[in-house]
Amino acid sequence: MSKARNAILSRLKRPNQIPTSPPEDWSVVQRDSIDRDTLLDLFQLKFESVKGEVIRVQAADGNKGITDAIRTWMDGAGFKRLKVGLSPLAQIIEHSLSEDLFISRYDQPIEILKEQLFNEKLTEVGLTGSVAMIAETGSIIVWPNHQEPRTLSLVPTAHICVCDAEKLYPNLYTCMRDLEFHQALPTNALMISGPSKSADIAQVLAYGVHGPKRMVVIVRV
Amino acid sequence: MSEPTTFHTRAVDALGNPQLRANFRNAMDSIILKRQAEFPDADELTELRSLCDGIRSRALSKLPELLEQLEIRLIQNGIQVHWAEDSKSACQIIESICAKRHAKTMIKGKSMVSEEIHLNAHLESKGLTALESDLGEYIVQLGGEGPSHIIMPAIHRNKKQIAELFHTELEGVNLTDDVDELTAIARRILRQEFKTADVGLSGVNFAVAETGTLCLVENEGNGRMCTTIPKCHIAITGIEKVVENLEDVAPLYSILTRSATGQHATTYFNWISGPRKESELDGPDEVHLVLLDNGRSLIHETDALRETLKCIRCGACMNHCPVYTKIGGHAYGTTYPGPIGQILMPQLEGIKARGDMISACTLNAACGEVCPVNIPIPALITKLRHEAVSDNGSVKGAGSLKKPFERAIWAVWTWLYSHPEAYRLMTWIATRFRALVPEVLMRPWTTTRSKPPIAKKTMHELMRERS
Repeated sequence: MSKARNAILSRLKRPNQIPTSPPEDWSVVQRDSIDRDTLLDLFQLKFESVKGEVIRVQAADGNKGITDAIRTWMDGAGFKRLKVGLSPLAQIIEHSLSEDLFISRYDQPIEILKEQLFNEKLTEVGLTGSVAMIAETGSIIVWPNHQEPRTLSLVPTAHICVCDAEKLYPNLYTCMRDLEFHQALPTNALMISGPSKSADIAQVLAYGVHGPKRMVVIVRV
Repeated sequence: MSEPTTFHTRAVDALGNPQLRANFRNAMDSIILKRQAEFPDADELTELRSLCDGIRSRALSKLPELLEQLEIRLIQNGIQVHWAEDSKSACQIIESICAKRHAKTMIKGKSMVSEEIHLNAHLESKGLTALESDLGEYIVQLGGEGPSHIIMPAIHRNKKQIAELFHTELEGVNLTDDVDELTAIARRILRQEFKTADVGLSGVNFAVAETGTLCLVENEGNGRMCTTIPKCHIAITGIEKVVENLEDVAPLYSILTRSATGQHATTYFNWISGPRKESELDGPDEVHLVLLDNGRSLIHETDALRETLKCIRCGACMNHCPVYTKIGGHAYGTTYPGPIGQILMPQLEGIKARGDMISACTLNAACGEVCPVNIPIPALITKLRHEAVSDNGSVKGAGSLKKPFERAIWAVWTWLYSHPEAYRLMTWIATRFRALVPEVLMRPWTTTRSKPPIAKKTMHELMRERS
């Protein structure tokens, strides 16, 4: 190993007795279970406060609820082109919406798809699922994988995320604990709270800086 | 633009610039209110601060072990680890990673450590281009400046000034101060760069030893672009940014975003635990982490100063600092300005080079009150003031601000204070004759103030008469 490494570590080990810090009190981030309706309302309030959009669909309506919501939202937003991954959800959507929308698959490495992906006219909306939702911060957790690449939620002009209200957690701590993040993290995991934004110009909030300009969460309740 | 040479002259210049002062005053007032609104419950804030303080203290108490663990996990995850003693070697490491890949262009996410090592200048001198992509950093790079705030780099400029900058520096851009339009211009230009850059660089908010994970906090999506689109991602961080367990990041993230910008969450929180797997369709093929010391291990060595390293770089201390608000970030002339800069920079670069910053403090203690990890910043500033004139201090350049005349005055004062008769005589003379001191001897105090009227008797005398 490198000389710098050993020199740095040996300097860090020089103070012989750094007092061990007492165990912390974690109760401030621990939450009792709250009913799902309250959590979902809180999620929606927080997500909408940063210009995110929430559409609730009935789980009882099955896939039709989701596909209808996507069709209606895309229509209202004036979008026609949807990029999907290779997940089971993507296949269902591709199957049921191919007559209404131009749906293309993210089925090749980014090196091949890059030009198309970055072309706003060819790729308008990216679709992903979600492993969890977080109420207190109005956030969704996305774990990209080989069926659902990282850039699906980043490069397109808008991002649609399909979630289940069953996977709703009060805060990030309870979510990470219950989903055992430390055992299961993919190469890249993301917590996303609305469309991309910045206040770097004179503290004026602007949306759609480098990532999606719009973000909509379709929640199966 | 001629660069004023000392902290003092830069501060004087800043104080004489009403536009700059208005820009900072407005920004700081608004950010203070936003932060307040995110912490409505004082008890919750106290508990959360003490938890986050505990997490950072625990990490620092076993820093070498955690760094070793982090290295093992990162390597297992396929991330390459590099150690850098100082700025120069960190720049060289990054340059050689680029050279190996025949990389010519770098797109950068926001990283204060890359500012600390002056990476852009180094790469440019070697024929590479390094482009900032965080909107604020992009603005200051266009203007040929450095950031004036660690979270809001371009906060010293108002939108008219940014509009003019875009108009003069960017080809084919009409003059507009519409923030949405300015943002759209930057989006259009930088998307091309994300698409084509050979290497992406980012900082790190938390490096998790347990899982070998690099965490990034951001709003714009440029951090994700820089770490996802180019084939090679280089992350750089100070060795103090490590935390022990993955769950540690949950409370730290919560207090960071609320303290920094008064947001309940940023748009993106990004956990990076490895390069693209063979089956995956995007992400970088190579991920590197550069661990920078640059004086941090020496800070770690001294018990009284170690708490400096708890910092999670939220910027709340500067937002609440009355001195920072008046003179702005550039006056400090350092990578890290404001209260955290005042305790960090003299330790990193030595009191001889940076000791003048320590005096720019009224000890009002606002910074310590808002610090999300309870760093006793006012006490550390006081400690550094002692170090600056001490004969046996531990900080680099300790004692370098010693002045014989000042010492002599203190020696006389000490003697007077321990000899009551002499002290009484001195105060009697002072109260009776001080009015005769000409105004010119009281400068610079009286250059902007009128000469204070002198009481006829000392307070001791008045109290004695009353009893």
